[in-house]
Parts: sequence; C-alpha cells; structure tokens
Amino acid sequence: MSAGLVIRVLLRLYPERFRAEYGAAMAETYALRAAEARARGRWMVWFLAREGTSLATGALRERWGAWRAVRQTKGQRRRQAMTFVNALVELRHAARRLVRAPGFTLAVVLTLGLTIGATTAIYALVDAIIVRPLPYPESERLVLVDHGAAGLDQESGLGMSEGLYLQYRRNARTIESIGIHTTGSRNLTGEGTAERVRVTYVTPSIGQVLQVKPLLGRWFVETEGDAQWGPVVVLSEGFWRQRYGGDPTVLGRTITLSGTSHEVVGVMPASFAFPGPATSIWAPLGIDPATARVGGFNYGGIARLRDGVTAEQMRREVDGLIASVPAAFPDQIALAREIVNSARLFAAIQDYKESLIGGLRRTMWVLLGTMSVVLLIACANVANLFLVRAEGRRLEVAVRRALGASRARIAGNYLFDAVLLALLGGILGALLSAVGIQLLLGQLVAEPGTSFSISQMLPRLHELKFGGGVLGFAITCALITGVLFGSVPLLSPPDIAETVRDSGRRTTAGRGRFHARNVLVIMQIAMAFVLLVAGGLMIRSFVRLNRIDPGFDAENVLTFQVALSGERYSDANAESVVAFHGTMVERLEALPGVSSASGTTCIPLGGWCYGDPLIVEGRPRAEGTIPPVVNFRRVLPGYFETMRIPLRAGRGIEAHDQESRTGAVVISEELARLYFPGEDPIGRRIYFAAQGGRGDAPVEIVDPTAPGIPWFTVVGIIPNLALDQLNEDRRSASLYLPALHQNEEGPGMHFLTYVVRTSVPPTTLVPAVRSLLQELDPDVPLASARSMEDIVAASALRMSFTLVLLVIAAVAALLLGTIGIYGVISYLVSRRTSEIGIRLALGARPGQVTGMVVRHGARLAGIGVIAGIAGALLTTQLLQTLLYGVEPEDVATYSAVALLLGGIALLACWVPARRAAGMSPLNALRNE
Amino acid sequence: MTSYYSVNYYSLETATMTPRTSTQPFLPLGNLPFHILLALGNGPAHGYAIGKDVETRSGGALDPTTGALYQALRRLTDDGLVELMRSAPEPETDARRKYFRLTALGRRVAAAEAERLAELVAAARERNLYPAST
Repeated sequence: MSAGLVIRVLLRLYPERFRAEYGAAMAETYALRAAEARARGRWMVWFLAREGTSLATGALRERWGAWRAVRQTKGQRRRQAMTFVNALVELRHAARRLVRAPGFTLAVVLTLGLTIGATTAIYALVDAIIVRPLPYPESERLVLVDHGAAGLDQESGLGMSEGLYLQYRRNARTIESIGIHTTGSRNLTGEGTAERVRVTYVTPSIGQVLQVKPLLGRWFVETEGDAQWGPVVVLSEGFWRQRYGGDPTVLGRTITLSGTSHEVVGVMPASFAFPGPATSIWAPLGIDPATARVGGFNYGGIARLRDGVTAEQMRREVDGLIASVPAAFPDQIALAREIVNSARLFAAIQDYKESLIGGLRRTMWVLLGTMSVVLLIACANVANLFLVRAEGRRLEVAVRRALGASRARIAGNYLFDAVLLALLGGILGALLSAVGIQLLLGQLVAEPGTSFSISQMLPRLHELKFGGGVLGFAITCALITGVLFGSVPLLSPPDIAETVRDSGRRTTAGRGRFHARNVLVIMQIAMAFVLLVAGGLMIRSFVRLNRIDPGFDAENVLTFQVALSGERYSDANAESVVAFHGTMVERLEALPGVSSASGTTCIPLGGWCYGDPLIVEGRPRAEGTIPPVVNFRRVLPGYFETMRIPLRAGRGIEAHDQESRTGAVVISEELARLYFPGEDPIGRRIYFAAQGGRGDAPVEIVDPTAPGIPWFTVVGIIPNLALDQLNEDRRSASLYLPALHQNEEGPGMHFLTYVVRTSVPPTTLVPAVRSLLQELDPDVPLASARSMEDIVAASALRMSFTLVLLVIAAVAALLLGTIGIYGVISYLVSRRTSEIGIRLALGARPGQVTGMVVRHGARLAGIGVIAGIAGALLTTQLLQTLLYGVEPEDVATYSAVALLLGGIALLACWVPARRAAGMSPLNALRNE
Repeated sequence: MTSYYSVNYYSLETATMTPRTSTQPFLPLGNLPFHILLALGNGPAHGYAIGKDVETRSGGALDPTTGALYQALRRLTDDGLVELMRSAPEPETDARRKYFRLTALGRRVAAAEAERLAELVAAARERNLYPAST
C-alpha cells in the first residue's frame, strides 16, 4: 500500500469540518514526514503503523469531540450512540439471516461473484492497457516518428530511414532526443543449446528518449552507435533470468549472436519492454554519417518532445526538414529528390502510447461496457430475489413497524443484507479476477518471443497486475450493486394495516411490488437483447472472416524458420546458402508423412517483409511520379504447388529457373492490374526501380531505358494472398522471385520459412525436422514451428478474443434473463395459486389458465424486446470497427435474436404456467 | 501578494479590541502544546516545521505523529492560542501549505507557562534540587 493512500483513507475518518480545515495541511505534513523517514532509512512499516494508529485514534477523538460540541438534547445524544450499537447488532442479525438461508445466499454471492469477477478482470485490462501511462518518465512527451507518402498513396507506416534520423537529430528543435530501431531474430550459440532470439538494434539515443535506468550495468554509450553493429549487447530482465538464472556476473561475459561475439554490458528492467515484450536482447545500431542512406525505410522511430511542444508542432518542423533532405545529402541527391518530389514524403507523428494501443481502445471499452451490462442484469436478478424475500418478510416487517421500528431502521435492515452479500460477492469476484489475471499472464510466459503471441494482440499485457486499484474497483462495484439491489424493495414499503389484515389470506400480490418486478424483468430482457445482438454480429463477422479465401490451402502445412549465419554462409556465398536449402528440402521430402516441401523468404500472413517500386521494360518513367510499391518474396521451386496456390496464368517457378538463373518471376493479380492494366503481363520484363543499398553500396535509381539491366521475365500469375490479415481492404501486389538470379538484388536467402505439405497432423513432424536440421548444421536452431492453420487463426486473434468475450457475455445475459423471467412468472403463479384454484373450480379450462399466465410473460418479453431493439440500434454503432462484412443494423441478426429471446422467454413462462393449469382446484384452495 | 485588509491588521485589531482573556485557565500547559507554542515563538510555521522543531528541541523525546500534532494544533486553535493563517507568509510559494502562528493570547499563555516553570525551577534551586545557573 502506498504511503499516500494511508493518509487519504484515514483522513476520510475525520469529521467534515476538521478535514476541510486541516486535511490538506495534514496530508502535506504526512508526506514530508514519510519522505524524511524514508531518507533516514527507517522502517516504513513502523512509521506507517505509528502514524496510522495515531491518525485513526485522532479521528475517533475528533468525532467524539464534534458530537459533544454540537448542542444536543440528551435524547438525541442517546439515539446517536444507539445508531452505532444498532449498526453492530444489525450486522450480526444480517449475517445470521444469511446463514439461515444458504440457498439464497449462495445464489446471490455466486451470481455477483462471477459477474463482478469478470467485470473486474476486464477493468484491470483496460486500466493496464488503456488508462495507465507508459512506464517511462514523462511518457506523454514520447511520440512515434513515422512517415507517409502521398505519391505512394500511403498515409503512414513507412517508418524511418537512417538519413532522416540524422537530419532530424541534427536539426529538429522541437525534440529533445530521437532514436530509431529495428528488430530481427538472431541465432544465439555457444554456452548451452542454440536458440533463436529476438534482437532489437537501437541507436544509443533510445536511452535518452525513454530514460530508463538499467537494472545492472549500463546502457549503450553514444560511440557504440558509430561502429557497425557494435560488439556489445544489453539483455532484457526476462531473458537474463530465463537463460542466465539472474546471475549478476553475466556482465562482461561474451555471447555469440549469429556467429559474432558480443560483450554483455547491461540488463534492462522488465518495465523496459521496447519495442515490445518479445525482445530479449538489444544491440547498438551503427549509423555512420558518411554512408547513412536516405532511402531504406526499415526502421521504427521514437522521439521525446521538448517540454511544452505538441506533436503537431513537431510534425510541422519535421515536414520542413524533409524538404531540405536533398540539400543535406548531396551524394544521394537523385534518390533524395525522388523521395521528396515524387513519393512526396511527409511526417506522421503520433502519440507513442496511442500508437501502441491503437485500435484496441475501442475494443476494450466495448468489452468493459458489455461486462458492466451483464453485471447490471445480474444485479436485476438479485434485486428480484430480494423482492421475493422481502415479500416473505412482509409480515415480520409489518409487525416490527407496528411495534415502533422506524422506517429508516427497516430500510437499514434490507440494506445491511444487500451490502453484506454484495461485499461477499465482491471478495469472490476479486479472487476470481486475480485468478483470471494470473491465467492471462501465464499465456504470456507460455509463448515468449513468437511473433504471433498474445502480446501482439494485447500490447502492454505484461504490465497487467492485480493491485490495489483493481481490488478497489471490485469492492466499489460490489458496494454500488449492493446499494442498487438493496434499495429496490424499499421503493414500495409495505402498508402495515393492509399486511396484517391480509396475513394468512393471500390472494394477489400488491400492485407496487409487481411494478418493480416487471420493470426489472423488462430491463433484463432489453439488456440481454442488446448483448445477444452484439454477440450475434460478432459471430456473423467471424464466420464471414473465416469464409475469406486466403488464396492457399492452409490445411496440413507445417511451417518453420531457419536462419543461416556465420562464415559458412557469408554474403559472398549465395550458392552455399541456396544449396543448404536444397539439401534440406530433399531431406524433408524423404521424411515419412511429407508429400512435398519448399520455402519462401516471407509466408502469407507473415507481414510486409520487403518491397519497392518496379520498372517495366520499354516504359520510361513519368517525371514526378513513382510507380506503386510491391512486395517481394523469393521462393524455392515447388512453392506454389506445396501451398496449393492456383496459377491464374502461365507457370510457376521451377527448378531450372533457379539452376540456370533464367530470371523467371511470378506476379500476383494485383501487380498485373497495377502495372499491366488491360495488357497480358506474361513474357513482359520488369526490374526494381532502385538497386544497391547492400552493405555500404549506394542506392541507385535504375533508368528503364539504360542497357544491361538484368531483367526479370514474368512467367505466371497467381491470386492475391493476404499479407497481414485475411480481411485486408486491398491485398497488396506481390512479386515472387527465384532463389538465384544474375545478380543478388532483392531479399537474401539466409532467412527462410519452410512450408511442408504433410499427410499427418503437421506439428507431429517437428521432432523429425529438428533432428534433420541438427544433422545438417548443429548451430542452426529450429524456430517458430507451427501449422499454417495456426497462423491463419492467429491473424484473426483479436477478433476471436473479442468474439469469445462478447459471446460469453451474451450467453450469461441470456441465462440470467431467462432465470429472471422464469423466477418472476413462477412467483406470480405461486402468489395466485388460490385465484387460479377458484378459476379452475368455476370451470376455467387449463388452456385458459396457461394462456393467462403466458400472456403476462409475453407482454413483459415483448416490451423488453422492443426496448432492446432501440438500445441495440443505439449502441451497436460502437461495434462498427470490430465487425467484418456485416452492418451494425443487420436485420437477420436482430430477427434471429428477437426470435431466440422471445422463444426462450415464452418457454420460461410456459413451464410455471403448465404447473398452474395442472393444479387440482381442491389442492389449490386447500393450500391456503 | 498584497491585500487591502491584510490578515496581520485584522488580527491586531482582534487582539486589541477583545477584552484580555485570563491565561489562568490554560495552565499548566501540556508538554506537546507548550512545545508547539515554543516552536511558533519565532514566527509562523507550517505543520511539518513545527513537528520538526518540537523533535529537535526535545532531543527526540517528543516526535509527534501527524495525527497527534494536528489534534494538538486544532485544540490550541479552538482555544485561541494559535491561529491558522489564511495565506502563507511572503517567501512561501506553495499555496497548499498552511501556516500557523501565535495569537496575542497564545503569546501570553506561553509566557505565563514559562513563568510558572521558572518559578518551579527557582523553587527547586532554593531546595538545592537543581544546580544554580552559572
């Protein structure tokens, strides 16, 4: 518990006047004393205990004094003293009453516990992800530095280049510091098993941007950023504990990353999860001003604004700096001009926290809202139970009133029961949410470092914890619900005379309570309707999403990643790299259960990977424009066959294309549409619009009319495949290159994702594949082995997460709503037993009785559904961005839900109605 | 910050215009209240400073907790020995900080208590219970 909380809570105990006068001053004195005690190294527990006791007793004395100070009659004073004693007595009575009705108590506590627990867990998520600031000092000054390009029709997401980083760093006045970073996977070898780890390369300036102190050792110094990939690394706390057992002597040790040695110089605390919790190691990003490239937007950027500067001011300044890029990089003037004049680059500056949580904000609030509605429905149910109980206690209450108990006393009686129950529910809820949070965090630990982990769907999840705030939320929730349902019976206090007169001769229930009950049922049905519609819309979206053709056959495909590093596979030796993959494919295909195998530098749903504009043979480039950017992948022979990607025209890439370097390429339909509208692309020749940029080689713009271009020839067309998500608005244009060509432009083959078509469940082959790889090269770890179906499912993870929670909420609402209407109708029947008996005795047919009861229920359900439709129309708009292929006003969903809910409501009425109609009139009347 | 009816002026007026209250009912002063009055002897101070002064002066024997300190201050204020200043004295910039100061009555009560103690000390000396001052 924090020191400030103690004083804030305890000050509440003081009388209002005392607090108004001295509260603020006391809090200040207390804070100063706490700081002093801490500075002197005193035991804070002792300090808190001493201060706390004195504050509490002081408060009691002040209260007592305030009482005495007010001029009171003796009677008044006595009554006040009695209130306190009464409260204790009431509490004991309430506890006794609840123990005597275990069924009722259990039902209420469980209903409230489950719903408060769910609401609290979601609240904890909202708090950790959306509400709390990032764990960096003055984190509101952090911004994501990104770019868009009007000429490429791209609003944002381009990222940063080395040249722009230098340009901003030198000239921007609106920022205090700026850094860029890029993340990749590297093989960690030596000392234990080879492992594939995520390494983030950062400019040392990231330390000044984020301002986090290392747990051990140090962060990078500026000079380490001058060398090319400086040979030092900093570990994350999680990785340090997992691989080195939290050994502090790790500092100074040498580790081998992708064949080169690095010295460990520091360990960063767990709060420093930059750019995400998957990163295990940071290494300095070497940027040499002499060779820094203007192009190559391969980096993420983050900056710290100067105090008082807004992101908009920075955007304006940086846009100006972009215009002066050609002047700043005269040796790269052609590319710089193209970026400024043709691509029309502009800055996209966004609050860093916003960039992390992005679209999740809406989802999380919708979920919290949904859970709160479920809580309200539960609350209505409990209120109903309370009404029934209050009905049973009417006589007792009337007698107590007649004997002189005050109205307030009786009301307090109800409220005590309610609040006590609610608190029990709140405690259960808090426990449940704590368990839920642990389970969710367990997920995070279960799959560290994989690119599709839950941490990608829920950023900042690692910051989630069960703390005082969450507990406070659960208890507040409990108190509010307690007061809500506890005060419902008070709306219509029983009339003493009538009750006593009526006792023993029950005919019909009082009108007032019926109104309260009816309103509760209508509310429940309306709220359940809204949640069911929301759930229904999500289900429809999900079905639509899963019907999308990904363009390949995901069933029975195993994928895994292999990265080759070290001298054996140096850049100069592309053939040895390709030869390794060739051998690997051969061995894979020889495994039992494998029908074919191939590989690509970038699988579908694996992200953007690598891309540039293209040029077409015989088509000079228009001045001031830039051709559309397409993404490239290299593929091994047999890739399209293994993935069962159908050819729309021409042929795929075959083994001889690779062996004799024919330059045959396959394009996607979107590429054909963009570059060859109305033409036949087969046989046409294309090439990259810019080349170079490998190592220190400068990037040159390729002139399509120049001689000696190593053209690619289009030999086939395939459908568009999804890059990131199945429901992309527009699927990107893709170019599929063979593994070897005349020159080595394009993505390297060191990092390859294998795809293996199997006749057995794909993941059962993982051990065989691992030992195969071990045989070929023990220093190459197997990474990210998973089935293609898994990858497809993971791409819709966020939607399935929302879907599952919404459907759970909707089902809970339906269940609670059904119980609610069933409870009310059965209660109605039991109250009207004698009336029904008389009707039956006078010759009413059972059908008429059933009809009478069901009609009552149907009326309630009907009003509820109508209110629900109105509510749903108003609120499902909020779901718009979460839906796919279905409108928030989808008539089919509304009708289905209305039918379902109406049907279930009628069924819930029909059961007690049948019971009523089946009564023998004699029994019914004898019942009295 | 200047104001037309400064607090100082107002309290001076109160002190002169009200009939002199006898210091007698307040004596003997408790240990902590007397220490607080002493702490305020040099001029206004805020709660933390008062507590600190009490602690130093008593050589650590008294270290009033926040609760105890403010209860004593509240009583002294109610009795009119001490008053809460409506605005902080000049060099203080933190407006949240509340300053206390002695009232004229408080000053007299402190003096009376000191006198009472001095008389007791003198009596002790007379009976050779306490070394004479050098």
